[in-house]
Amino acid sequence: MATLLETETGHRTGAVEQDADIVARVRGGDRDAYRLLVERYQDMLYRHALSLLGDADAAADVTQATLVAAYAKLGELREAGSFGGWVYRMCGNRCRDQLKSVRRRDIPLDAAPDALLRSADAADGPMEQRALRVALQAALLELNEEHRAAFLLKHVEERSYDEMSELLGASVSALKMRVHRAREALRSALEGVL
Amino acid sequence: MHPELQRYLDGELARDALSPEAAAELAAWERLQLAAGHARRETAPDWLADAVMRDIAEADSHIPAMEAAAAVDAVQTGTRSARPPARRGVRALVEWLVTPRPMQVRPLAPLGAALALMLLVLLQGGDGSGPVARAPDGEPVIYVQFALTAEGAQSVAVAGDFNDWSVEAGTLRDPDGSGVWRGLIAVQPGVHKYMFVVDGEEWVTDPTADRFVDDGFGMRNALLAVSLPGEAL
Repeated sequence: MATLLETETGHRTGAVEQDADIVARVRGGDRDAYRLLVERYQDMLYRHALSLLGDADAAADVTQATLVAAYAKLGELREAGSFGGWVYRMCGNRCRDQLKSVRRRDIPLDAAPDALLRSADAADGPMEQRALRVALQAALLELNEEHRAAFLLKHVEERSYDEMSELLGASVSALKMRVHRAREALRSALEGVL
Repeated sequence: MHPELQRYLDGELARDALSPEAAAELAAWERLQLAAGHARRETAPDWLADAVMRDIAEADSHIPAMEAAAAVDAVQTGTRSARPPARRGVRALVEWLVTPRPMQVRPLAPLGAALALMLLVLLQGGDGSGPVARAPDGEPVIYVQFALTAEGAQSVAVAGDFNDWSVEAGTLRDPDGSGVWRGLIAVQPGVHKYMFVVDGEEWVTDPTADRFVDDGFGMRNALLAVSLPGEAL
């Protein structure tokens, strides 16, 4: 969503091209225009993936693959203006698929300390905090797609409900309910850790 | 969870307005928020946008314009095309199925085995519309035959995103004891990742696949692309 775009200094920009217009250009053959969408959403997608995977390299790979796949599937996007929410959910699903394959190989996430230490500021945090992050990653993946996206937008991206509504195309009241349910589910899943 | 705490976390209630009951839950949620927010300051690597655009350009340069957007994902992720011929009648389909194709077979050291072949087998749909079957939910599926030569193995399965990485759902069989394990697996059209699982615990990448993708955790998934007859991926 163009209206959600912020500059590096945090100021809203006014004269930005709407997602729908960019999508239309790309569909019309202007491949280079897709870079605008990539640059607009790559940080948000990366943080989403990092929250779920806990590994910077894996998060970058998933973000890259998601954005390439989104280009490939742009024809399936029903509302051109909903690109942001669409690609955000796609990223979450790719993370989940990736972790499913890892889990099936009996490689528990908490058995990858190197990966966790590389992520964000984990190396500076106490062990309890790291353990909580690992537990939270697992619990987030157990949420359904809508609840997970709403929770992460609220608590990682720190979006307002109005911004989330614009991005995901759902009402504010519906999004509040999703976030509330996500919190309840996480509280239940993390009862022994919190 | 206390309703006042929900309102506080939503920014609708001041902290000092929380009742003692709600405040008692606050510390745990602050720890959760801290954990959730560890990625908040992170940004994508500088190279990422260029890499995405390069992948897209590379894919576009290999395929006709009309199919470009649809096929980018397959090319980017290194997908093998297992697409059957466009619908040209039963004869063409049979010819396609029985025509020998070059195949690389090489030893698989840990197993003393060699991976064999993978054929795409299409079933005639019940409605006569084409060589596809339909899952109970009505979605079209294509039956893919997976095969692995694993002499001495007690069990072999294929697990992938098409069966939720379930070893139980992708069991292969070796009825004649030749060491060649085969099985038909229903796969919906699309690009899929998979691996073989030997004796329930050894995950083996299919070395005969044309394309692979790193899973980010030190292993590689083989990639398979399937599409309905006459349809591009």
